[in-house]
Amino acid sequence: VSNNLFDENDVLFHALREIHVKDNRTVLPDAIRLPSFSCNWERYRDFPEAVLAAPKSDSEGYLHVGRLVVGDLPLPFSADGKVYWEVSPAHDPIESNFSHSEIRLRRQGEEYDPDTKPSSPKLKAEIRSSIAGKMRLIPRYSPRG
Amino acid sequence: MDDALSRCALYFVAILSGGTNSDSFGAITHNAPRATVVPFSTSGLLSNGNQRNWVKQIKNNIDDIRAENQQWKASFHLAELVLLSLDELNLKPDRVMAASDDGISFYFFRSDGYALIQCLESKEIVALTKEEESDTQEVWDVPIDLTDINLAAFDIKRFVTRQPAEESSPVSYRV
Repeated sequence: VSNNLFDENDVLFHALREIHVKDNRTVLPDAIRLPSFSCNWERYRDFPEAVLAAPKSDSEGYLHVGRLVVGDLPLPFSADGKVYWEVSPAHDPIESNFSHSEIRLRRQGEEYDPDTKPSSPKLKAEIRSSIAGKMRLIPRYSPRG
Repeated sequence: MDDALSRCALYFVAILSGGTNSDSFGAITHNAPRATVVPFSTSGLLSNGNQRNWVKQIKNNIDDIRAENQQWKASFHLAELVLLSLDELNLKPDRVMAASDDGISFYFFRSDGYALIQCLESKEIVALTKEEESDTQEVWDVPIDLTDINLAAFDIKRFVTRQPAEESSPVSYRV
């Protein structure tokens, strides 16, 4: 599946820890791992809470689901006006989860490198806060009857 | 008076005057600073016998983070410096956690926003304020000295205690 299949209206779901959520509403920057973090692509798995099913969920308090619209991803960032960093979705299916995708940060014009991210903590904080600000919490799933 | 100058003046008035009760900080406003009520005391270091309960609680939080990240050194040292400033201002963090990069994050909440101070293993401190409704943020590096850490904490206290309708003011000393 080519990554250019992402449409700006596509939705991604990301598992969030309780500690990274303020007032059951706001996602905090430390929820965003760089240079990439995992999501489920709604197109192939439209049950948001499925993203909580990963083994990590049990022990580390992953209780919330964040919803991110591809078209809402922030514009490229730069600390010096020379090197720009951009975030984009990438489909990265794994054996147990075809919908698995990642939001990846890479230098503009370069391939994504999992070992590369900005050195400036200020820029990283800005990127994390911007992405977190675009993420909307899905009301907690309540099993019926 | 320029905002940064006004705050620096307040700081040095505090030092020269011997300081006052930090609980009186809330009386200071950005537009009408009053030199008689200043946020900093000259007590300097925390006195173990006279610590606020929340400071002890935050120290316990930090110890928990330390237990899980025993290889970290610099971020704990920086966190201690930050905690000194927070205690001086009686500015209690709402949440303390391991940062997503190696380090410690101090979060401060208000109803429509939050502020963050990150102490990192890279020997850097970053501060951030976020207005949730407008999705606007301000991020700045905090130089590693007590004066600059105090000023950053001062700005964050002003941010978290400001009412949503109040106008924000740019801070010129940020780097």
